[in-house]
Amino acid sequence: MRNTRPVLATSLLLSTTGCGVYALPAGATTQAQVLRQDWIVFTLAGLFVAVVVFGLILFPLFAWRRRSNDYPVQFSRNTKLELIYTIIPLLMVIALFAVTYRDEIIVEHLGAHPANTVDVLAFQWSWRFHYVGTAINIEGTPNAPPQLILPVDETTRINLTSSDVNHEFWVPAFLFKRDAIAGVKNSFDLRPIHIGVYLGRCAEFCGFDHALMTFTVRVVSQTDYVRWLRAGGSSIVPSAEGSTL
Amino acid sequence: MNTATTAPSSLAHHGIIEWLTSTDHKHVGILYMCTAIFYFLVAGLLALVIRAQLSQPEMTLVGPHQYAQIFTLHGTAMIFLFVVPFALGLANFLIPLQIGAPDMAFPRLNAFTYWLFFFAGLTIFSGVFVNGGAAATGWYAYAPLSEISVSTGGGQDLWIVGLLMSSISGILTAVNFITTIFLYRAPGMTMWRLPIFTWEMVATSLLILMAFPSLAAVLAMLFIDRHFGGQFFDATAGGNPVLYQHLFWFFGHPEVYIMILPFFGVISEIIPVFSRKPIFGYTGLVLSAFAIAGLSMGVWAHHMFTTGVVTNAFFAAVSFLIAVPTGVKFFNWVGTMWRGSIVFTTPMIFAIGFMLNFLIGGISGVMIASPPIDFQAKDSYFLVSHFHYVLGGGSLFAIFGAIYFWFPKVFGKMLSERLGKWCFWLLFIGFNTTFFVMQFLGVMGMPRRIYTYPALPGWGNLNMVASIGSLIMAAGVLVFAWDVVTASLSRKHAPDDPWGGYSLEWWTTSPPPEYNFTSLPPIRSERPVFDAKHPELVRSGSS
Amino acid sequence: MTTGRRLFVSSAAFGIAIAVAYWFSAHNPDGAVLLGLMAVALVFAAGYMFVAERAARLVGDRANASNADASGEPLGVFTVASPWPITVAFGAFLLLLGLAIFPVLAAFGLALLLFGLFRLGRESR
Repeated sequence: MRNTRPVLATSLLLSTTGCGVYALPAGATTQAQVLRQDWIVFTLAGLFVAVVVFGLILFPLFAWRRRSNDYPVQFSRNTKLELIYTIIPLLMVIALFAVTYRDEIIVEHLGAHPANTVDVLAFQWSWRFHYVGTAINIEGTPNAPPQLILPVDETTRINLTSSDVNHEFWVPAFLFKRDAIAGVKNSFDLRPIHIGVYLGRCAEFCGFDHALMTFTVRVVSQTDYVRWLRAGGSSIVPSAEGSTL
Repeated sequence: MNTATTAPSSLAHHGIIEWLTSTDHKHVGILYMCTAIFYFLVAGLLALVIRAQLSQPEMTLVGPHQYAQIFTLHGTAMIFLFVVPFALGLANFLIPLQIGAPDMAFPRLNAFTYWLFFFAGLTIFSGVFVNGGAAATGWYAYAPLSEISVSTGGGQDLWIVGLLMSSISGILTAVNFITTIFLYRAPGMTMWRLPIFTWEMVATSLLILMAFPSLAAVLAMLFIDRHFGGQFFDATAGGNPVLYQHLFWFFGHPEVYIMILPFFGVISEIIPVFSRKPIFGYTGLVLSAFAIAGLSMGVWAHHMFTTGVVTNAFFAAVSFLIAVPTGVKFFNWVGTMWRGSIVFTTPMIFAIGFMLNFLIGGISGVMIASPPIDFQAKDSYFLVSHFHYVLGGGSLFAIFGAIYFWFPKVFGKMLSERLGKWCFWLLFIGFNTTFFVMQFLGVMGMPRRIYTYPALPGWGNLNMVASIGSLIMAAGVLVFAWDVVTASLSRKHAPDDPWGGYSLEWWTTSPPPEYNFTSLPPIRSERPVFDAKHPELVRSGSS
Repeated sequence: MTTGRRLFVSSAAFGIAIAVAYWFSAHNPDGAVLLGLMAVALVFAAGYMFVAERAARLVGDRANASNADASGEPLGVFTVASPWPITVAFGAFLLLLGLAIFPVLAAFGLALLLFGLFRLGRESR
């Protein structure tokens, strides 16, 4: 499971989108691993364009500042050059679109047989998690945010909707968010890869206590998860390691 | 007439009644721009409150209700009462001058649109005084949050009717612009000799005509929902909240280009004058404006990538394509500076600042046009950083460039070059300090529109940096205000053509007389004033 | 074909193209209706340009026109000042404000709006 690619990708990312805590989260689901690839591709492409175009803007400022009263040569067109700098960006965005298209299909793919299904209901201003096939309902309040328990290395289907205004389910560590809209059922799969606790929140402004509409995601081992399900969701999982907010 | 001695100004002798009833496009333009600047100062003050509140975790300077009103008014005022009206005001002032016309095609309609916009601003801000406070649902006021069952206060209604007035005003202005540009060009001023700013306003006007009706429609539907028992956006009664997003963003994304195309025009006027060369790739610049305008009509749902009910691939593809004509503009500006003779006046350095800032906004724009990236960036501070780089680093810097460039023409007074450069550097450093760090806050997980946040690792530090940057920007605005006050009080008259300008506004006096021109030079290229003053440099057979 | 007409014809063609492309790639009725209506509006404007431009021969469109060519060309009358634009705007303001907070104000605003429009029309003659 541990190969060098994610390590390489992480170090690349640290150098491109920040360092230490000031960076994109490592990506705690298999889906997030794919999403992070996109961030890396686009960040590198963006840095490349930035360096080239910054150079093109700044170079003339040093090379051709006004030195005499004479007017320079009054040229104003070069059709061949203009065509070139239309076509090169066009090819670049086509390539970027190909990456985007491929990765979005992977991330949004819904598996045929998810191991678990959770119905998530967003409301002003908290969340309710219903574990389908069980009687487990976890409902929070703005001052007592609920906790979503997920098993590691297993696919969980989330069915998301809202009972009032628009909300948005966002777990920054999963690099993913999805809208909760009344009358719309949004489904997506999450497959966490690391045990830990992650902060989640509402991302769409939904009224005054929007800032307090948080929740936590606790990713536990599969045995802990089964034990927790059997206990009707009431037992506190003892062996969750670390805490990665 | 082409000397520094000015004719008696028609603008100087106007009392309050004249300003209220004038239909002269120059007066209307000045009213638009001054009102817009007023709202910029108001919205800027609101931004300082936001930055103070967010400077540290768990701050309690304002509560959640006040905070929601503040960011709603900040966004609404910056977009609808500052950037767009400033562009319309500048166009009002410049279009007849640039095409050699005595006035706009419909002068009284023009005055009407200004006053409707004036009352729109009053209406939106009057929400502060009603029970329940001003609108507090953000500048796009998503239903069902903006429905009467949730947002019960009258402030939301005032916001709706205020924006309705502003959208009607915008539509009528666009009609006026297109008519004027098509029918009132001076002899020899063919469409392909129009200054780039005027061309960009043709594209902008077309976009307004396509997009603003959708805004008017969605506002009317929301109002019907709130007061006449409608259920357009009420899911429990068979309505559809997603329809609100479709209608709003069908307006809202073209609106972004309505707020930037005029300023692409401004930059395309400033750079050639101070590179002492013609604009490079005139035809490409015009065509790219229409390519941007056209494509921008097909990208609205990139604001809805996470709704799960739109075809993301279509909108991502069209959004990516917009990068191409935008890139063409950049390369044309570089081509204009290439082997030029660059003069670092205040308008020019604002234009350079515009390019540098807008490039960052453009790159982050291409990033979030990719749905997999948008899944993290949407509604986060990454997005906040992106659109401030486009609107603040872009449009705002172009607005300052435009003010420094055309202030002598509009008021017959020169702004100080020394203060102008102070203003630029304070704004440039402050702006980048504030908004660059927000990209990191966004990827780290800070959502927009939260009035408080817990002390998560790094959040407090970055927010403090951003807040310090906002104070540096505020200092830049104060320098600018001081510059305007001292220049206005100065007795020194600006020359008619202080910069060696190219387009027709530099042919007439500063400020221009009623009906604008007493004579016109022959118009044989896109820079008739340059041709008339430098006949030895006229390119034979070129257009 | 003049540039103005070409602009509207190509905009209309683009409007139709993007509406059709959207319909076949996204199958979403909301957006297809919006783009379709946009295309209809542009086709209408393009059609109008054909009718209107037949009559108009503008000195501004002639590349070699001199200023003398423009003398005698009717440009219309440019009003310098009129109290009615602000009156109509104030009427529209009261009308919409009244709808939002106080219906009686709306009636008064409508009356002022109509009165202002009437006087504006009289002024034009």
